[in-house]
Amino acid sequence: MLGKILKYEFKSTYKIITPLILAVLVLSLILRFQLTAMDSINFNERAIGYQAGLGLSIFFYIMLIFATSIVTFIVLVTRFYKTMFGDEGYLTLTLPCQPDLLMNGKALAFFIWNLAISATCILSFFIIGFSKEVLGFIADMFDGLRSFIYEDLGVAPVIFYTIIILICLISIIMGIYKIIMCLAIGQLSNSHKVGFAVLAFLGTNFAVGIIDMILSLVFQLGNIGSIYSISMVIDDYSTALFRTLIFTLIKYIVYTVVMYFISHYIINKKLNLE
Amino acid sequence: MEPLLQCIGLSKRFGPKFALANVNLNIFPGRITGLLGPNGSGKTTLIKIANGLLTPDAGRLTIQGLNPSPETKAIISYLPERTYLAPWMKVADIINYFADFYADFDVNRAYEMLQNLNINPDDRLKTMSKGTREKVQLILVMSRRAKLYILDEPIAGVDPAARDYILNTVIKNYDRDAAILLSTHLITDVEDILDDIVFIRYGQIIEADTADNIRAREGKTIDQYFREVFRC
Repeated sequence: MLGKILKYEFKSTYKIITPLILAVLVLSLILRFQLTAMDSINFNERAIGYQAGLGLSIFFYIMLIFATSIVTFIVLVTRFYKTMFGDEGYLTLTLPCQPDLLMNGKALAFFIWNLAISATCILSFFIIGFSKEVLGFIADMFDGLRSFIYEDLGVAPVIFYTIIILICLISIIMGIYKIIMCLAIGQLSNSHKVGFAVLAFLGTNFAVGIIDMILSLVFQLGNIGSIYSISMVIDDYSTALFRTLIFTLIKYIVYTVVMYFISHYIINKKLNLE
Repeated sequence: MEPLLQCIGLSKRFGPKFALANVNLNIFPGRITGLLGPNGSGKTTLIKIANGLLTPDAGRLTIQGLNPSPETKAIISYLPERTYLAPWMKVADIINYFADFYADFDVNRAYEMLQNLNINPDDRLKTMSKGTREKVQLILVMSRRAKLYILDEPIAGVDPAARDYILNTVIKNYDRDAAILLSTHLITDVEDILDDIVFIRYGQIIEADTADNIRAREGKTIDQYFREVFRC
């Protein structure tokens, strides 16, 4: 059933998102070509045209990256809202599967598209900047990071990288369930459902901010800024950094679980389709 | 005979107002039941609970003894009062969608009905009139070999000629051991096909009997009796 849900999620969104991804990659290749061409041209008057062309390409590239992220976000949020809480919800929510599976299937499609956009950005940077020098720079950077992790943090790099990757992944999942929860809260209203969803989003961000601040004050671990105070107390900056990462990971997991269960409760018990 | 759909003390409140108040109702296999009442009487609330779109505040609604769940959704074919299909989809895409999700969906039956109504499967819904979209929805719903068909205002948005076709489609296409629960206020059009009548007002069942009994007892058509009972 999950496969079928994903199939229709991708079918309804790929026609908008895939061309944007391809456009980013094509523009990256053009930029790469222009940068290579620039290298072979001396800076004389003839190069002005190339410079203008390159400037224009960079401008379009930045705009396209923004547009891809924003359009993808809007497409996925709109799709979720329409198919769960709009008129299409009458079909979606009467399919013979658990509402949780529907919610999680849509969240998974959201997550996969997010990863695809992130991978596109990374690939694009490599297309534009790939060279022996850049590779050497990245290798040097990772060497330095490895010795920092080993010597200063006292943990195996694989653990450190795993935590960083987990934080990134969990933060994406948390963002998705935050949106789902806010849309679910918004649909509880009998009118202006989208407006209430936006209010719920602002309210959630405010509440999370307050909780973060309280946790930061209580544990002195909530954010990077607090590391300095800890380092003064325990004189161990590295331990504080590692603890902060672990704390951030746990915090994100707890937020995600809370947002998931609120969404779950509303979708299972408090549906309020128009 | 065991009821296919059963409500026991079913209640649902929206704020202080009861949409359904202590409803007791049985729908039996092989019967076409008309759920009749004026706007705001609780018809759609009852139908939404049966389809798992609302949860009751008190009492129970069961289908074949089960609470609304994926198992009951697999045997109910539901036509809501609004267009629930994505406008960008082609009719053929939607047929594939139904075939993917519903094991009881009969693709051949759907294409046959589309052909009878001159609807092109390659047309997108957004290019169709409201009436044609409603016909497509009804075709999809009646192309399932479900145990219970729940049709909420199935003929409200279509022309009289299409109404006849739709009602014939309903009668011709449901299996004899299945039941139909049909909500409407256009009683004249459906009166001849109804076996049982349920009158609902202010969330309460005020009359539930066979259509023949009501006609014999009151000496009136169901439409005339409805107008008398629900006179403003």
